[in-house]
Amino acid sequence: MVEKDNVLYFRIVNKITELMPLPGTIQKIIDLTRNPDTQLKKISDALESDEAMASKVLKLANSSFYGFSKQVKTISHAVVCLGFNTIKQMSLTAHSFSVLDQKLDGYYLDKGSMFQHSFGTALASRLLATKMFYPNAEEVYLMGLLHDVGKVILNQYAAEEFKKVVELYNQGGIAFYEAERQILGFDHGEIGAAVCKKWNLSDDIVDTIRCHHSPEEASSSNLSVHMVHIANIIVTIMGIGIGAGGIDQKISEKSLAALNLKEEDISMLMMSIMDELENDETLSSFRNKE
Amino acid sequence: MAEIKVKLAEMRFSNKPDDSIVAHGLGACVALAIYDSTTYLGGLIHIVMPSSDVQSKNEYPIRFADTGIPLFLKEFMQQGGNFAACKIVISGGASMPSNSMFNIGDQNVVAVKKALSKFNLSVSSEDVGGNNGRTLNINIKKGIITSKVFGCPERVL
Repeated sequence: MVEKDNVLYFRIVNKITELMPLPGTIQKIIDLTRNPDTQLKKISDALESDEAMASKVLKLANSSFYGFSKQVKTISHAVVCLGFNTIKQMSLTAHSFSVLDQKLDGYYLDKGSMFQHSFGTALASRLLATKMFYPNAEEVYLMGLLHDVGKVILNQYAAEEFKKVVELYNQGGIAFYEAERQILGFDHGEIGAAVCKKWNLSDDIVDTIRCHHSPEEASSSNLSVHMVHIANIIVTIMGIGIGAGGIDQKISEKSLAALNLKEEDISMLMMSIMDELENDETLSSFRNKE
Repeated sequence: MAEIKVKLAEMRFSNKPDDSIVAHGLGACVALAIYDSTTYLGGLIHIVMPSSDVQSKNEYPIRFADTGIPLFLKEFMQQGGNFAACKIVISGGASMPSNSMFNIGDQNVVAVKKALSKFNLSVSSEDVGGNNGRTLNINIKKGIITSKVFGCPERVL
């Protein structure tokens, strides 16, 4: 929990709308999907009014994950096939790709690393959600994608304070997010949660992003936080987009128990992550041009 | 200078003086670099896991130390590499100390050395273990192999 008098935290939170705005199209879709009586056409119209977003959603709709036998050619077809929630998550996913494709000097993450790590964690989170027969695997994918979004803000807005974080971390003995907590009074998970809150995302998403390094602190009914926690650990171990923090993280026993994971499951997950990374066409189609 | 990136479960070779061969972001993975000073041939393999037992078919041999290292060494010989004149180094193999289930880094290091020993080869220098992310780089022209921890100066192996 962030102390009520943490000036830096509240200064950053007040700047989120300016630092990381949510495009009007997505905001409109989120508002529309909140009302179960919204007509599908209104959602199609909102998406079609934003050509770039519409084309990204179509790309996702035609990716292997959804497995439609026929090509989804129009937005209205995609909305009918996929439903409100999936369309909302797809729009957010498409937007997140552009937000995450950045160089983060404070974390020693070069251009591409942050994106690869987020994308790998999204794939791994979805694999765990599918393994657990979780009803909304696509939402867990989005959580994995956004888990480190707070880093983008901290890198931008707390550069001075960050030098002290790196200094403390380099002394050894603590994980990088623990150094953030000691110096700043909060970690990147708190800032990521604040972003998701500003974007009006679900309570589960906000809770998971906030607690992805400390799932014990999450709501007891939140299972997705354990999926994202373990997914992040495995992707980090594999070195996918790792930076200043190396692979120094604490693994939650509670998460291992909640997902009933055994040693052989870890190997199988690593194999599946590599398979998906090799085969998923999303990665290449959504990267910003370097 | 052309940088040849070696991603997860890949291997690359070069004898062009302008090239460098690099494996970025090594966590628990182990990168093995080989360099023959007589032919200027360098090679690098990015191993992810210790044993191919986890796959039913031998579909992805380069992912694993036990199947990837033999393939890598064979390719090195086919491209004219000479074991008698070569230097072999490894980097990576970091571990998360808090749970043995995730101790893949140590297992990777052991498995890579074991696979080498079957060819009567051994590592002459290494930068492994701990919990740091690393980058391994071969400069073909100079024959210098370096390992670098993020935020620290590089170390010649």
